[in-house]
Amino acid sequence: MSRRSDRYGSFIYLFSMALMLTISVASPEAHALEVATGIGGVEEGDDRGQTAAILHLGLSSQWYSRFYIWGRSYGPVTETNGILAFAKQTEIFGSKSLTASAGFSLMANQTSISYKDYPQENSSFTNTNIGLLLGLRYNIVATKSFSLTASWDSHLFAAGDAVLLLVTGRKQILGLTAGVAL
Amino acid sequence: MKNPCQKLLKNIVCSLLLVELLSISQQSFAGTLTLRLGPPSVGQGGANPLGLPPGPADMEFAWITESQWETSFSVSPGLLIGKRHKWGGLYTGIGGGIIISSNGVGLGPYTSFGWESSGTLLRYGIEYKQALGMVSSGLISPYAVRAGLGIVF
Repeated sequence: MSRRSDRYGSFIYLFSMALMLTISVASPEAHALEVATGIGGVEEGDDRGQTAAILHLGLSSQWYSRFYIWGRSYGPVTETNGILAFAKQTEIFGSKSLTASAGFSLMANQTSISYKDYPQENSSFTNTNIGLLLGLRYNIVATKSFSLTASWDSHLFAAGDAVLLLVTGRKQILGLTAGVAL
Repeated sequence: MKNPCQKLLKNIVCSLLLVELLSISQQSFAGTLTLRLGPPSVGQGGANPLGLPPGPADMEFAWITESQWETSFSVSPGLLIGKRHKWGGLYTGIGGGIIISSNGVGLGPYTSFGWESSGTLLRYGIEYKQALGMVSSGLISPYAVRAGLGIVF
């Protein structure tokens, strides 16, 4: 199997897990499946942004799953990051459009180093982590069959034992998604 | 010398005034003064460990009224005013203010997510606060996870 297949294999596995989890939690009475895609700006604690692709699956008015993927290449190094989030949302301040979300996140970060001239030095490693999703969503447009949503999500990850001293890592994603009800 | 009726009347008036003053002060100043401790992330990769003893940058002071308006100040994310929506002890806050990071100072919104106990004298809790500030070079986005203790007034 090629390295590229290896790289995306773990993300596909994570996404499949989230899909199954979402389907198992959603009640049969819930409204139709909502599928949305969009783009986001990811910030990883350094005030610098990267572009991410977002896939959103909602199976009830309260539960949803989101998958974010982004990456970058510089020289021989290629980074690919994926976050799979599973969350519950609820309306706040009496608004039908504004919701707060809380849930958990699974993150996989893969770094590959490929040298054209020294292939024997090539390497690849993957780090995974489990974190907490906290976020806000605002429905800009919401009809029976179409929705346009802005979101401000943070995925908080504990920094090992240092979490006792409140050390965390964060992936912040400002997103815009458009979706349809199936 | 005052007669007993005058003394009684004076006592009643003084008592009513005192009750009224107490009522006014409760309406105006009822709230919780909270000190939270935790390291901020100021745009340089992530938060450092909480200092022991905590330094000024690790501290946040917040005043939360009974109607859930919150004013908070810390070196980072900054000076913020917002409103909370509560579900029991859990809450989400939304507001804005002056956002401070190592990469600049700007105006912008913030959101907070936390939990606070419901004591009548002391309240403890933990909160995650994130902010977005607009500066000349773009956006700054400091955040902090802080835990603390509040005194109810």
